Amino acid sequence: MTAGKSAAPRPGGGDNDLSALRRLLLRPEQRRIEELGERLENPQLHARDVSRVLPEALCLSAKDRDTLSDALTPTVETIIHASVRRDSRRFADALFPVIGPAIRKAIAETLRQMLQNLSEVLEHSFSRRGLAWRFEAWRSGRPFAEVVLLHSLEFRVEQVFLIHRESGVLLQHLSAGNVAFEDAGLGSAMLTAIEDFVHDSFAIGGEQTLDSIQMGDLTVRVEQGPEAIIAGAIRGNAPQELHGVFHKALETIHQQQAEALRDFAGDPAAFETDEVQQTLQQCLQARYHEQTRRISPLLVTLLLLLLAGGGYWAYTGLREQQAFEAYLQGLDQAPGIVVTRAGTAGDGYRVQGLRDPLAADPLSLLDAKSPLDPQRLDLHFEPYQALIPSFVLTRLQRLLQPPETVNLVLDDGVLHLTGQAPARWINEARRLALALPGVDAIDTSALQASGHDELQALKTALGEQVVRFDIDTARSEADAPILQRLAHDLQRLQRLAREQRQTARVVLVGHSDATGTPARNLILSRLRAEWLHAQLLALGVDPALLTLRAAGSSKSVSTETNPAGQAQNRSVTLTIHLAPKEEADR
Amino acid sequence: MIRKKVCMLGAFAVGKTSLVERFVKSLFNTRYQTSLGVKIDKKSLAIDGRLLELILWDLAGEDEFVSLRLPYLRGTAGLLLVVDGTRPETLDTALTLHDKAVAEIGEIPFVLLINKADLAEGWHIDPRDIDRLVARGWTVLETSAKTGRGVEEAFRILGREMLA
Repeated sequence: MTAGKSAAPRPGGGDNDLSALRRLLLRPEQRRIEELGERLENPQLHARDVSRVLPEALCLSAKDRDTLSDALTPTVETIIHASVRRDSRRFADALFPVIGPAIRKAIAETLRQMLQNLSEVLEHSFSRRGLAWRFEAWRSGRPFAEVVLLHSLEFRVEQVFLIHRESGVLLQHLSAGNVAFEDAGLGSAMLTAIEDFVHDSFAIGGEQTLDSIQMGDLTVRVEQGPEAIIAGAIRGNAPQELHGVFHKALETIHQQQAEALRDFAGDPAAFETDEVQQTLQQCLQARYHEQTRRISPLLVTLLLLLLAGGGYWAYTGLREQQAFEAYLQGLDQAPGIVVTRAGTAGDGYRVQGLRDPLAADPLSLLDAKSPLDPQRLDLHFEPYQALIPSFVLTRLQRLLQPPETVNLVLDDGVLHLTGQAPARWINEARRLALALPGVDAIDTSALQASGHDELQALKTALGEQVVRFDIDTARSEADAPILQRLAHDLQRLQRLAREQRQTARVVLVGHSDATGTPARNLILSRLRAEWLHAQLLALGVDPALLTLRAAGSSKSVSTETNPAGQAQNRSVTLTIHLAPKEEADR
Repeated sequence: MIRKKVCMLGAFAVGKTSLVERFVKSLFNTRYQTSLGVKIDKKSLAIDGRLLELILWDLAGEDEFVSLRLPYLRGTAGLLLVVDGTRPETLDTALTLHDKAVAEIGEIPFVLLINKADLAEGWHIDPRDIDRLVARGWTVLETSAKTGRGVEEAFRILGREMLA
């Protein structure tokens, strides 16, 4: 045993013995002390020992949080500062996925509060403003949505580009609504070129990037990621919060498409997924604001004037329409006018129909007070004959031209003629009246031919005529003028009778006085009648008119027996018979 | 569809812009080039049934006053180096630009275009210089902005190399 050998006491040395003894007794402890000393003095061993207990120690210390935090804070700060100084990009890349959510969380609460207020305002004023906008849309003829947009657009992300950061190659492009961009591929490359240009030209170093380009109300917001860029073209006042939106989208795309971005070799198909589309779609935001523009008094006045004008126009239009309808009604009621078609035509009114020439002038039926302008009436009437009794009567009057003594009455197609008229007219009237439409029959029973009285008078006069003879002679002493007048009267009788559609017959009755024998008287009376007959024929009287009769003394003209009475009885008298022609013909 | 960024490099007035003018879709005015130092156009072509869209960064020509803006080369997938056949010094510029580009972004597909082929009789470039480049594996094409010769082919060759 090694220990045994080395511990053997040497003769003659007390100290040595003691040491030997101590060594003998305390060797294990001494070794332990040496070991511990080495562990404490050797940094490597000490570090190893500390590393064994450090996690546990930290855990224990964490229970007393403040102490550890306080102790570590300066160190950690120094570490972070050093890291950022050394390679800021690395640090930025490491922080990139977490920094967004952290910021968003912080501003979410503020935004929520703000939106709450905004929606209250909107809700409060929507109905009134909404109505005003609707009215404006109606007035201007523009779609309501467009009016709202124009009034309330605060900003709108019109286009969003997802661009490969290194090459500037377009990975994906979306645009809002109908906003077009001629070539997004070239646009994205140009944007990258501009950024490169700015970097290069103004010697901007490090990781500073192009954030936005602004021109008028168009802003191009650029959000840079390690592998890709999102650029959004924004119309209006782009709010700062859009940075957050773009940033979040970019983060999502970096997370979802990490591999595709890293290995990108020109094929954008990998980014044509619904995922990417939806993410980018979230960038196409728009916000609208309430507008408190006052309506100009001029506009209001103009509007009122327009309204008044429109009202007046509508009122006059209505009045005119009513007047036209009234006019049509009047036309319809007017005898001899038939309206077949009526309505508006161009700026005015058009009426078509039939009109009897005897009817009233259609224009004259328009009330002078009517608001309807006669100039705007276009009237077309075809002529026709109406069978209205009054019109037929008028036509009869014109056709027959009756004398004043004749009265015409049309009753149910029958023309009643009353009064007196020349027989010639009556005959003509009978013929003509029936040719007229609307006259089915003619009644002249109450119409007297105007020669009737004359005929009667002549008949009476002739009936009283006595042609006297001397005693026992058959030759009259009557003067030739007397006979001539008699012949003339008889001829007139015959003409008048014919005019009155009557047949006249005249019987020459021969008489004798009571002296002598009846046989003798009969012969004498015949001879007398024959004598007168011969005389009258010689004077041109129509033989058909005359007949003879011998009355002898039986039918005395006078019953007086004195010489004057007897002289009366030596005569020829005339008996006149008048009969209607038909009767006579029978 | 594949989208690739391609940079056109060359000395001042070698005819880069006019070379591609009628082959590309332009959206921006040429004055962007003088102000920004770059003009961006688009060239679409189909290669082996795949649609390739080249975003063509036409960088302002380099000379003693204007130097290449290196940041523009970032993310470039291919280069078109343009040389004026009538000015031999432009070949040197192109070679320098190529070196600068390689130093900035590493080796990427490229094509060297000797422009103004329509003025071939006025060429002053030593054919042996070109042969040496070809021997190094460079693709060298003769082009003409006037006739359009070789341009479409250059796009195709570069496109194919970038897709390989």
